[in-house]
Amino acid sequence: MDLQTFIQSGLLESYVLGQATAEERTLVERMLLQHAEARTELSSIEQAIEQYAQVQAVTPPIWMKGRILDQLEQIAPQTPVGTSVVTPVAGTGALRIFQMLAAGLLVGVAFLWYQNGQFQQQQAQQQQQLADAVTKLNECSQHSETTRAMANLIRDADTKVIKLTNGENGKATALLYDNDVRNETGLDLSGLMAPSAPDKYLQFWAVIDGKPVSLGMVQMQAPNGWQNLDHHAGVQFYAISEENNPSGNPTPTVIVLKSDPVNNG
Amino acid sequence: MELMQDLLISRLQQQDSQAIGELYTSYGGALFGVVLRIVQSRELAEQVLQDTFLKAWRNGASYDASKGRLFTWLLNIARNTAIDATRTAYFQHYRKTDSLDNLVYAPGGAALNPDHLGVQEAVNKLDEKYKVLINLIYFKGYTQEEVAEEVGIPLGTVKTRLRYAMVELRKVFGENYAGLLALVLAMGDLS
Repeated sequence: MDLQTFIQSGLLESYVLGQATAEERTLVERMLLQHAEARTELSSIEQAIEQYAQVQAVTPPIWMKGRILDQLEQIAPQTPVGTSVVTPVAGTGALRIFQMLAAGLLVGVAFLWYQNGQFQQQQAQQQQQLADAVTKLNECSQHSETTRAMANLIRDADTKVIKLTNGENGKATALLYDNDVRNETGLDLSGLMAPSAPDKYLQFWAVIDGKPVSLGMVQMQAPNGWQNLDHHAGVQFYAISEENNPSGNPTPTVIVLKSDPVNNG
Repeated sequence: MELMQDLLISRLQQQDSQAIGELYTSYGGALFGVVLRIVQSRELAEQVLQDTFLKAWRNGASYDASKGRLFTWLLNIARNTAIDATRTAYFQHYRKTDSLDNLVYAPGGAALNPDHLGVQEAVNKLDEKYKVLINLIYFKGYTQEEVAEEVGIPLGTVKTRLRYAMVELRKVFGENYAGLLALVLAMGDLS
């Protein structure tokens, strides 16, 4: 199953619900491992559900938190450290003292061995936490880089802002940022309308030398509402079409938005 | 923010009871709202909410962040606990005594989160057929087959509408690029 078909299938929604079958769960988890876009989609679904639940939150009684924490205190496992039971030792006099000392020594050794095991386990956990934290920091850094690149493109004096409209009232519903010096093009998705039906998809086009060149499918759920596109020089105008095929078509079917002629001077 | 979340998850996995306290502060109200809608009894909902956090504490080690967000995990625990509760005789008794509106909007008891009033308005604008679908499936524990029967539409239509309902919902909460940009610019020169 290709990625777009998978995303449109509703399997991710079923997975979030806990209603996916074992076979579907296996497929979803494999796709999540293989595709960052699937992970982004899953996270986006979960965030929407969380926000929806937060909007409809109902304040519980004020005593509830204390009661839960009290219950946890009562059932929390007692630490077994140093609680070994020593059976009474037989014998008298020096032998008995020796037996008691030996038993005490054994308990002490067992205690130290247990402590050492605990320490190693904690150390392994802390190392894992540190590794996870470094991974997260790297992800944050990459995200920050993306945001920085986006801001730099928008701020650059050589960047052209191109409006795409539906031609009815001239109102822009998508903004494109195009920079021939940087060779960069980015699409702001924040004002873009959704396709007219669940089984329709938006495809982005540049018209060069009178011929449409596909710039790929519009990713409606792209992070930050921003999508980077391949840059092309000499574009006459840009357009967005609505297609039935999730992977797009070689030529546009129905143009829904288009720009005015682009000034390439 | 994510780092803090990761540390919280790590503490949850080590059965730190204070981590449960923090989870309760973050998610208690949202989960109580969901549970209340399922069991339709304040008294039973309070018991279910307590059970939910005790289960979360007991099973914290089994939470796998790679398979979903923490809230989704808690939501599924809460929803399943609530559904189990509705099958008891206790539930059958209390259900007869309360109406949902009284439960959710009782004076001095429950209140919608005022921080979300604007979003609430936006949510209210969702097409009714999508709201019904989201509420039945996500917050009342219906299977997709049960929804098809309840609403009287084919199962395939349920799946399609569910997908589109989520697209609509995400638009309501959609990442606000203009807001992000303003924030970026307010942070000063990044070049």
